[in-house]
Amino acid sequence: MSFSPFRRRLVLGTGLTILLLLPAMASFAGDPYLITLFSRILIYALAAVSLDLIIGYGGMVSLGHAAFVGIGAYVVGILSFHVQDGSLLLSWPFELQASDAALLVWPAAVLISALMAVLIGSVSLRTSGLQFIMITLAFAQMLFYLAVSLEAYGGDDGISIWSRNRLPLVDLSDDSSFYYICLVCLLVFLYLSHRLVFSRFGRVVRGAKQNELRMQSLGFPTYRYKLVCFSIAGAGGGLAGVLIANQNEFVSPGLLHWTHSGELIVMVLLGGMGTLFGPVFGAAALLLMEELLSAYTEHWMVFLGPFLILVVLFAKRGIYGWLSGAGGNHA
Amino acid sequence: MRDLLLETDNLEKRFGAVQASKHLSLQVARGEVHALIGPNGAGKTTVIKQLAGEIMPDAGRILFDGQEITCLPAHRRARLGLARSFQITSIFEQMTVAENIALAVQAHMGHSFRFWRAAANDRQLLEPTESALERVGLEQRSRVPAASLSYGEKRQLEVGMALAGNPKLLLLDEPMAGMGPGGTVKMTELIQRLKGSLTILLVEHDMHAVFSLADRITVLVYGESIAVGTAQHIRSHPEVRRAYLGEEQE
Repeated sequence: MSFSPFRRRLVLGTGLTILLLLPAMASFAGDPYLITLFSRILIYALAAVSLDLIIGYGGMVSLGHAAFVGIGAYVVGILSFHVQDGSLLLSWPFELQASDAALLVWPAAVLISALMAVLIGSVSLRTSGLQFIMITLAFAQMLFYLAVSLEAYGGDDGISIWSRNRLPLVDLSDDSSFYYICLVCLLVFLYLSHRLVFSRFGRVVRGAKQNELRMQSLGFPTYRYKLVCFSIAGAGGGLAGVLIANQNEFVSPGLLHWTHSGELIVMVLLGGMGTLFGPVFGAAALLLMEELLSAYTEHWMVFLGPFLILVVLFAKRGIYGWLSGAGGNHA
Repeated sequence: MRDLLLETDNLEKRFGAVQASKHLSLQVARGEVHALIGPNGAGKTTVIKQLAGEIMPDAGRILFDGQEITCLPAHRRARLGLARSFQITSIFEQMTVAENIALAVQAHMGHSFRFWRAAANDRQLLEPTESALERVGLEQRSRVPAASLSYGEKRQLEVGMALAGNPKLLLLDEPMAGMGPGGTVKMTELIQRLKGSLTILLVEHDMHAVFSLADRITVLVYGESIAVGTAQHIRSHPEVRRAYLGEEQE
């Protein structure tokens, strides 16, 4: 296995430079839409990185990751609905005022997503393989229909958000500021994931993916480790949902739909499963392809399908592995 | 009176009509290499599994280091100092040799909910990992992915993982299984080196290895112990010759 840290650094450095300079390049090119597009890429990258923690490192193929994205988004949406409405979020058993302060709403949304992940994971992780795929799918679809049935919050039509959350010093309604907040969130989450993957905890999770029975005979209660990993991924998905809600200023049940979970899996596969940075490249590739190809035809998926097959067949670790050489085998 | 590390008292295990362990009373003294031999289907692996806590006996008791462990789950027994290696190599193929052993070390150090520090530079893990690597003679191969080891080296790694927690008793389930003559010699040397530093219960088909390594041998036939003694004693035991060795010696 040839390993080229230089090439990897070059690829990552180039990527980071592009992301850092993007708002400037967009205004130079006179195309502010680029900022919106790349904010979206960053947000989906965050969701895909969190999904890769469980799929790529933990071997837990979840087809319900969009549920956590949706939960994060709905927390933002529901709170802003009440702020706009002037009504209380809760009137019983105690009165609770809704808020649109990012420093309150975002951690709450992430926490709720993580708790939901503990709940869903604690049941789903008693199974594995195909059953795990189906049960995570089932949970996500349950939440999808729950969102559809929330008449008070728009049901099928979702919730329009009047203004993005407030953050001290930063104006989130400014698209480039929002872009940089998304970038910070992604980089922070990548750094946390990096620490996690190489920590003792990460080793246990990777070991459980490769040979769970052996881990158990070594004395590791693998279920607990996998559950914690699953809920960390859920938290990451929730944060992505928070950002999506703020970017679109709109949330709808579509966010929780299973096709959305499938899209996240495609991003992970395309970019490189089991690599930290791969999903970022995967998210960029998928959304850019969608953007470019859908200008020519609405059937752009016709091109995506064969492309995905080629990548999976020929690039062992996805686009990122191919770009950085050596298959990016660093974990 | 001999200082016993492991003792079973009338162990019984039945799988349907098959009596896998029958009034089995096994005694392993501290510091010895004790071999468990017997023809195929004699219930040797069943004994190892009961000792390791993977299956529970139907009746009888298991005492380890003066403590009853009959009902303890496998991971608790591992913590008490009872380690096993597997008949079929069971390692983490995509990790390096050192990572494999470090995982085993980690397993003996309390919980692993440590999310921040890189395990690869963790001093608490490094030192025991190094020493286990040295004991099984894999220190030169520590950075190699486990998948690219030779078969014999994988078996060495398997033993290394069992040694990682500094166990008092090592259960070796057919460590020579599937090895060529060269590998068998190497593994015999490895066990010879370990001898004295810990107690070993060895299940093995290779009689040459058993007779050169074991201080004492227990012969198992249909789940029952038919003879216990030194290699010399077992070699000349008439019942053993009839039941077992007779088939093996060409």
